[in-house]
Parts: sequence; C-alpha cells; structure tokens
Amino acid sequence: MFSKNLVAASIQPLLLSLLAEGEMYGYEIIQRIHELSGGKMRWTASKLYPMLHHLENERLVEAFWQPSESGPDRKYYRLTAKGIKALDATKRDWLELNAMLARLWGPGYTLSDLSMVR
Amino acid sequence: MFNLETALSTWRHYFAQRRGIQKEDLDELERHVRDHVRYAVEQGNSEEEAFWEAVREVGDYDGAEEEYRKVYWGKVKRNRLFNNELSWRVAMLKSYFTIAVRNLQRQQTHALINIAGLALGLAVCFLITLFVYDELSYDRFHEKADRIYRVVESYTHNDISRQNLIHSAPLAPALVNDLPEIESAVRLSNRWGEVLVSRDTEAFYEDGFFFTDTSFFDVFTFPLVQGSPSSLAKPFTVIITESVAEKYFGDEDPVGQKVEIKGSWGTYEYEITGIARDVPHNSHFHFQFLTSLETLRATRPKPEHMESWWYVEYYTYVLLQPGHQVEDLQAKFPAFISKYKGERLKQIDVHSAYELQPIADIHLYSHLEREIEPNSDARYLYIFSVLALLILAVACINYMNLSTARSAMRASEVGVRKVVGAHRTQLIRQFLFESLVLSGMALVLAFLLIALLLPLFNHLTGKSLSVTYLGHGDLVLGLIGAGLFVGLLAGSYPALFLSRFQPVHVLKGLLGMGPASTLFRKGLVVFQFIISIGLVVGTIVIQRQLTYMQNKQLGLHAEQVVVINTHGEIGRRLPAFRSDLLKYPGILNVSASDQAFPVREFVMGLRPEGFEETDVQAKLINVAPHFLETLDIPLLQGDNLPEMYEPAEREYQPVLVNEAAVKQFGWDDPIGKTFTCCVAPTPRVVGVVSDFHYQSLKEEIAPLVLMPTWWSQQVLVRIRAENIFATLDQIEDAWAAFVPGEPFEYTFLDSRFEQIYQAEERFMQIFGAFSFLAIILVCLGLFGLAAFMAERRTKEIGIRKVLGASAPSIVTLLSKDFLKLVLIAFVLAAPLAYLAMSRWLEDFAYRIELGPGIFLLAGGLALLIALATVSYQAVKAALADPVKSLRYE
Repeated sequence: MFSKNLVAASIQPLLLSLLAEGEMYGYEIIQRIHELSGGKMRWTASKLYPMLHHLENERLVEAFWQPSESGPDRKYYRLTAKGIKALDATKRDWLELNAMLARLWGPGYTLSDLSMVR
Repeated sequence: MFNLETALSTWRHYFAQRRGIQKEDLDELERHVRDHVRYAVEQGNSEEEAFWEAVREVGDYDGAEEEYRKVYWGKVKRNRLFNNELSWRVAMLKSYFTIAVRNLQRQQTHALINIAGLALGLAVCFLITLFVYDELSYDRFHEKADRIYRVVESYTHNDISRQNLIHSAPLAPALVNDLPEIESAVRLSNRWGEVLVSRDTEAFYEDGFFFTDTSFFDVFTFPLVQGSPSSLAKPFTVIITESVAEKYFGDEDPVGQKVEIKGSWGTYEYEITGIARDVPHNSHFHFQFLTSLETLRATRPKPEHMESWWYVEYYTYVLLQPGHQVEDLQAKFPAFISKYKGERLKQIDVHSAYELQPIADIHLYSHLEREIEPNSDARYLYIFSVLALLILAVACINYMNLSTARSAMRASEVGVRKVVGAHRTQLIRQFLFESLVLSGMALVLAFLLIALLLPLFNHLTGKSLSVTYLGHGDLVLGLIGAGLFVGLLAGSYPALFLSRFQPVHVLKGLLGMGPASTLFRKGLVVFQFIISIGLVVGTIVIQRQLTYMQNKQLGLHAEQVVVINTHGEIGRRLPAFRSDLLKYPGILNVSASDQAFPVREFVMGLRPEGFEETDVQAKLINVAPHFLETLDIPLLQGDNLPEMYEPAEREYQPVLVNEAAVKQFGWDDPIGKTFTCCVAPTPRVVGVVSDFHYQSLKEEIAPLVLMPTWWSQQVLVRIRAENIFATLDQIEDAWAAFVPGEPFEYTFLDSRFEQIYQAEERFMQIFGAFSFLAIILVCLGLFGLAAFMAERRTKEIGIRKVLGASAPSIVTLLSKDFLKLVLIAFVLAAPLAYLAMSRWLEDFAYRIELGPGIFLLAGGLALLIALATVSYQAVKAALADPVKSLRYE
C-alpha cells in the first residue's frame, strides 16, 4: 500500500483523470481504482465522497442524479470545463515531478515505464 | 430473517439522527452500500454478508462526519443546535421513542399479548391487595381503637373449657368502678332476630337493633349527625342511622318523631332522638338502631335480671386508660372475679377467667360462639396473598419471556447500531426505554381492568370495595412502582445481554437461540404450567369435597326442625309445652337438648366402665324425652330413654350410646354397661343408637352418650313442610304463653349445618377464579411464545412444505415441543398437588379420595389448553405460503 500522504495527494489527480474518461458514480469509481491498482488501492466511501463534494465546491466536477434499474437514483459525476483545465494543469505538475525523480534515481528508469500509467 | 431494506433503513436512520451529514450525501452513501451489495451478490456472497461488509467499510459515523465536515465548513454554517446539549438529548429521546413505536407497530400482536398478560397480572394483584388491606382495616376507624377491648370469659369445668362472649349486666359498671385502669365500658345487646319497624302505614323488618349504654359513643367512634349520646339514658328512645332516616322519613327531620318497633320483648313506641352516620363496612358489627338499656329494664318481667351476675345477655367492651398495659389489668381479674362470682363458682366447681380481645383482632382472629356477625379468617389472607403473588409471578415471567424472545428478533438491528458506533449505554437505554413504554401501557390497561373487574370481585368476596385513587394513594403508587419495576427487569435482560455481543454473533443469529436461553425459556413455561395444573387440581378437589359434605347423609333428619334458643327456662315444663304444641297440625314432635347442633365444644365427657384409669371418654349430650323421634335417629338395640324421669329416684340413670362408642370401648354387649365419674346417679346403658353427625364433617363421629335431662339449651321442634310461617307463629304464641318475656329466637337445624361450610364454599369460588386467571395468563404466554418459535422456523417450514410435508405433519412438528413441556410440568405438579391437597383434606374426618381421576382430569385439561393455544400458531404457519417464507432470505 502506498503511504498515506501519497494516497491523499493522488486522490484528486486520479479522480479527475478517471472522470475524464466519462461520467461515473461513486461505487463505480472505487471499483475502477481497485482494478487499476491491481487491488492495491481501495478507496473508502468516507474518503471518496467528501472529496467529490470538495471538487463540486471547486466547480471542477458537476453532479447529476440518474435513475437506476434497481432501487433509488444514483449520483453521477462528470468533469466541467474548469475541471478539464485543472486536469491538464495537474498532469503537467505530476509529469514534471516525475521527471525530476527519474533524473535523481538514475538510468534504468526510463519514461517508457511511465506508459504503465495511462 | 435478513431483510435488506430493513437493515438499510435502520442503518440510514442512525446516520441520519446525528444530523451531521446532509440528506443528499446520505442518499449517496446509501446508494453506495446498495451498489456494493449488488456487486458482492453477483460475486456469490450472501446479501447479509455483503451488507455488513459495505456498512463496515463506510465506517462509523464519527469518522464519516469528520470528513464531510471538513468540506462543509466552507458552505454550511454551523448548526447551533448541534452544540446544544439539551436539545441533542431530546433528539436522542425522540429517536428512542420512534424506534420503540416502530418496533411496536411491526410486532403488534406480540406487543399486545405482552401488555395484556402483564396488565391482567397487575390488576389481579392490585385487587387482592385491596382486599387484604380492607380486611386488615376492620375496626381501626375508632379513634381509640388501640385502647378498646372486648371481654371474653372462659369457663373451665373438669378440664373442659368453653369461651363466652355474652356477659351479665353488672360486669361493665363493676369493671369501671373497681379497676382504675379502665376508663369506660359499654354493654351491647342485640335481640337476636329481626324487629318490625313501622311508621304510619309502612312497616319493614330490620336488623341491627341494639340495646346499649350512654358510654357507647365514648368508647366507639360513630359520629352523630344529630342529637347527643345522653339520649341513650332514657327508655323508649332510639338513635337511628342516616339510611334508616332516609328510608322512613325521606327529607323530613326524623328527630322528635315516633316509630313503632316490635321486638321479641314487645311492641312499643320509640321517640327518635338522634341520627348517626352509617356504620362503615369494615366494622365487626353494624347497627341501625340504638336504644337505651333502660328500655330493656322497663320491658322485662324480671328486672332483677339486670342486677344478677348470672343472667347473661351483653357483649361487653372496655376502654383502657391511656398508657396502661393489658397484662397489668388482666392480672387483676382473678381477684375481681372472685369478689363477685367466687362463691357460686366454687359451688358448681367451675373456674372462670376473663380475657381482653383487642377490637382490631376480632374480625380476623375471633371465632367464638355468638359472634355478633360472622368473622373472617386470617388464614385466608395468607393464602390469597400467596396466590396473588403467584399470579403476578406468572404474568411477569411471561412478560420477560416474550420480550426477550422478541429482542432476539431484533438482533440485526443491534448489530447495525454497533457497527455504526452506537455506544453500549445507548443500546441499554433503548431497550430499557422500550420495555418501560410497554409496561407503561400495561399499567394503563391494568387500571382499566381494575375498574372493570371490581364489581365481579366484590361479588366474589362479598364486599363492596371501591377504589378512590386518593384514598388508596399508597396502593396506587405501589402498583405503578410494580409495573415499572417489571418493565425495568424485563428490559434489562436484552439490554445487558444483547448489547454485549459482537456483531458477528448477531449475524449468525445465535442470539436468543443459544442452548442456555432456550432451556431457560422452556423452564419458565414448565414452571407456569406447574402452577396452573396445581391450581386446577386444587379447585377440583375443593369442589368435590364440598359437594360430598353437602350431600353426605347426616344420620339424623335435619330438615324442618326448628331450633329454639333458651336459657333453661322451660325446664320441666317441656312435656306440657310439647303437648300444647302437638295440638297444632303443623307440629310433628318436640324435644330438647343441652347442646346446640352442630356442636362446637363439649361441656362434659363420661368415662366408660373398664377405662377408669385412662383418658378415654365419651362425649355427653343431655337430651329431653322424644329426642330420637324428633330427629329420626334409629335405635339399633335395646330401649329408648324413658319419657318421665326423676333422677333422685334411682340408683342408675338410663343413657344411650352410639355405635362408635360400642366399637371404641369394645363392648360386645353394651346394654347394662356403666360410666364412672362425674355424674350421679351412675349412667347405665339401655340402648344403642346409630351413628349420626352431631358436629361438622370435619370431625370423626366419636363415642357419644345421650343422657336424659330437664335442663335444655335448645328446644327442637319438628314441623311439617307446609305452612311454615303459620306454624312458626303458633310455636311463638305457645312459647310466649309458657315463658313470657323469654325471647323467641330460632334457627333451622339444616341451615345451621350448612353454615359451617360457608367459608369453604367461598374459598372454593375464589380458588376457582384464581385457576381461571392463571390459565388465561399461561395461555397468553404460550401463544406469544409459539408465535415466536414458529416465526423463527419459517424458512425451515417453507423448505419442508416445498419438499412435500403435509400440513398436519408440520403442526405436529411445532406442537411436539410444547406438549412435551406440558407433560413434564404435569409429572412435577401432580405429586406436589397431591401433597398439598392431602394436607388440606386432613382437616376433614370425612373426606373424598384423592384418586388418579382428578389428576388425569387436570392434566388432560392442561394438555388440551396447551394444544389449542399452540396449534393456532402451528396451523397458521403450516398453511402459510412457502414461497413467501423462502423469499425471506
């Protein structure tokens, strides 16, 4: 498991990136993260939803309710235009950071390895 | 049975009640949990497990709230209510309440049964307590009650004692004069029998007519509405009670008016000089008319009777000076008696002693001859109290049983609460609160029941009790306290027990079905059935014994025999009286005896020949000629007693013995045997009579001697069944002619025999009522328990049905367990009941057999009732749609 700080810092970029793929609801997001991390990351509801809320406050995502086939409606999220811009900014930051780390940690760690992160 | 929706709404509710998270977010969280469950189910997990996992993953409330709050603080202004401790507590209380109500609504039948059972138990207990309180309160309304005593005299002659409540006129004044410890004394005499009171054209028979002294109102506390006690000093005046005033005078003022009263001492006009409050029911005697002793003195043919120490007529009460001990006073009595009666007592070789009876003890403990009114018995109070406690125990056990059973059903709710982080104290409080709400409702119902049952209860006990909630404040408080206590007790079990368990255990549904608790519950059912079976057996036995006693042949002809009380006045003139009476067609025969039948205690016994050094005795009844014929007692051997007899003339006097005597003394040829000791001339047996009951059937027929005498205490007149009243009038006229001034007091012999069993009859009725109640309670409990059991096995039943089990087999399956319990209870109860009833029957010399039939009847009844109660639930379960039951999961 990643360290707490790392997890905390990565929530926002991961979320925004996921939502860039399309609109999702909370549980779906958790599932995806679980898959992507190969089972290593499991977000809890009490972390996810407040964060989504926060992003809503910041107007980076917008939410809408959709009826479901079983039971009550679901709350879906999608990126706003502002969110897309924020995602770009985040991407740039993380890639720069990554480059710094790669230089420090020396050869044998090439950019191509980053292709794991899609 | 796990129900996702229920679990979800429960969980949701707990999150919602803390109000830290907004509704929309809660919706989202809930949706999250649903999704998780759906996903997990697809993976092959059970709904229940998935739910728990999801909910646990969401985590406890506080953590979630913290996260949300971080986000909120920018948007939502802090809710002031949050920080207000008081309104938070109110919110909590309200939440307890809503949950309680929700539970009640969900399990209406169970709740109803629970409440009904407890209410019934509480109501019955309350009524019994009311009764006991009332019985204990007799005669305490007198201001000076702790200083008022009644004088009882005991005579001893030849080691045989008798107690006497009726005293001579000079006793009271002498007591006051000679003994400074005595502040006042009062004499009370009631001319036994009714008086005829007429005013203008109306006439009624009344009882409660007493002659008394002016000190009456000094000693007793009977408030006078009008008039003063001093009027009791004048003859031919009367003080009446309010209801009498109303009856004869309506709205008019009775004081100063006249009524005509006809009593056994004559018919006279009396002026009304006062009105007294009606005597409260809890007094050992009740008067309606009070007149002065002077009236008696003026109307007697022999006024010297009022000066004689040997003519007895008055109940005598004394009022002690404050601060004096009864014992000191009693120590002075021997000297007192010796002063006034010593000489004569020595002559007749009788020892006399006075005792003082505290007035408050009379009602419960005094059972002497010639009590003014029949008294109650302290033993019954004990028995009823025990019975009432038993019923309450049954009701409470039911209540606890059912509530804990229901709590097990709510196990899932408990698990949810624990997962969302409810503190243990919260859970405890929730359960206690619920239990209290239920028992509160039971209390309300109990009060209703009390009001409803009171008339029936009064009828049963022969009282007229009423509940004035102000007057019985302490009882009402006690009842409320009891109800709340039971509620707490019942609520504590699930509260403590359940709240301790880990959610995992709750999950597995082990709670409430563990072997220990099932055993406990079964044990309680068995206990209840033992009590019920015992009570039913008791009722059957008592009822049979009563019927037996009432139907058993007495051995003498008791119907249509008039028994006239006398004081020996008629004496030797009995034959003349007899021939006068026989002139009337309605009279069949006349005789007399010196003992009142049924005989309570014997004055004398005779020692038979051959038993001189022993204690063996035959009881003695002195009889007048024609005794055997009058009572139709067969003579088995030898001759009857002669008609005319002069004791001084012979060396022997003829006596009769009964069969029991012959048997016990081992006399092959009884004729000619004699009795040594105590009387002269020597009694010699001339004939044998068949055994007859001269006492209550509680006693064995003991050896009896019938000896001729002139001194009679009871004149026995056998009359025809037709025109009884005309015949009675004729007897009275003849009586008045022979013994003018002697009151004509009579009873019927058969009613005298019947009256002894009155107490037993009432006992039986009350016992029967208790059994009925106990059975109802047990049924209620069983009903609820059966429902619970059936519900728990719903899935199992559903599967069985699907697999082809028939309805009857399912009914058998469910009933089997309970019937086993009833059988166990029967096996345990039967010997206990047998022992208890044998003990009771020991008091009766003539009694029924305790055959197996009785027990089988009781057991069969119990089985039938259990079957009926349980099968309702069983059939309901068996007929339920199996699809629905399987869908539960």
